[in-house]
Amino acid sequence: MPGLQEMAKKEGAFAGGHRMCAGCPVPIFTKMLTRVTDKYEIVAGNATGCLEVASSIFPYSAWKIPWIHTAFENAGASMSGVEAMYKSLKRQGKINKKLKFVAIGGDGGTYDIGLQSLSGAMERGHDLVYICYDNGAYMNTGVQRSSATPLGASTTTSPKGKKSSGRQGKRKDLTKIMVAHNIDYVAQASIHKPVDLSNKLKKAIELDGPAFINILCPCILGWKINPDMGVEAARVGVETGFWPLYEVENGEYNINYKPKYRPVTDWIFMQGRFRHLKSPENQPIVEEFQKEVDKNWEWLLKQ
Amino acid sequence: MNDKYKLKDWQELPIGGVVPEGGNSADYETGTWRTNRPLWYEENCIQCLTCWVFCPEGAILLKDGTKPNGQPRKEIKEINLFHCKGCGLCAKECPVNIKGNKIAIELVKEEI
Repeated sequence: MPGLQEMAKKEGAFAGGHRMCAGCPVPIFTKMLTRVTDKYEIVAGNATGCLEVASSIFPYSAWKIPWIHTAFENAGASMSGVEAMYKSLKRQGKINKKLKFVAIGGDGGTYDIGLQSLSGAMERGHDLVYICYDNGAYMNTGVQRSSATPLGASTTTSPKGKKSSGRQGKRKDLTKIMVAHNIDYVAQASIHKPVDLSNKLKKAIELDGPAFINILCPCILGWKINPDMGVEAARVGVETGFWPLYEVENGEYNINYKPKYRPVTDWIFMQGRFRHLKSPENQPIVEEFQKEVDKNWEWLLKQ
Repeated sequence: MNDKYKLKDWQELPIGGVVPEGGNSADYETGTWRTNRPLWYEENCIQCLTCWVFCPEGAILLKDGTKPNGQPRKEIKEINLFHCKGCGLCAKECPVNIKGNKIAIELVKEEI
């Protein structure tokens, strides 16, 4: 169980000087990648997204580890290829480093565009960790709706207005889809609990086989919050029950943290993207949001 | 911008446009983005490393130190203002600040 002091002894995977927005909490977990394990070296692949663009502006790279940029749809496929190559080279005795492979994607590159390659990589059983940082829209291109966008959120492709009150319909629950792949390790983590997050990363990386972690990463731009609120927004998201912290090992659910079940309005009204839901005619949407969160928890507690 | 990475003529670029080394973004100054400057007060700091783990820029620098009981530990050395974008996450999440009696990190307006 790596604590903060333990992690501080090792060098991080991510250098400063990257061009992520001020206050963007995504580098919190990328810095951690090499700090959680001392048995393996990490090789990362990155689907197109904020992290990829902002960390590799020519002629700079923020990555201190081997890193590949792949297109939106094939982070899973590329990294499974790299992993297969590593296995082959190891069998031939041409490499004797102990490597582990990590694919990183945003929610657009994972929930929507990269879903089939992710599904394939997990189903083929590659020794691969897929990390999705979920900020609930295509933030890199200017906040377009993705299938991870919560109900009622205003984005540029589901704008609030006279006829529309933000995103319609329910968001996809990717973590449950990944549990349905019957892989060894699936977890949901949040950026505001660094020790819990590092434990999950350690477990997933050191495991021989496919693993998936879904991390809640607030977006300063898209959620319309202040730059210092990134971690707080994730915390309130977990406390309201919107984002349960749990892990599924070999089909067994384990809830890591029981929230205080604050009303979901605490979370949505701290963000500018839900501001239009304050008006009385949008109250049914808030109620539906709350009902959805409650239903999810009820289901989760039965597992 | 560092002269080392000044964009060259196309004939002088590395073949394939490869980046010369990993982690060289550390040479790029993002401190110019800052409108608020963090000030760290060592005497009030409890060395919990919360700001270090949350800082997205890796701008909280560490040094080797010792606990009051003599065991080795990592301690905060300084804030790297070359990379700090002034987001204020450190001051927001600092447990000393949250407790409210003292202030260990605060943000002040950057003077031009």
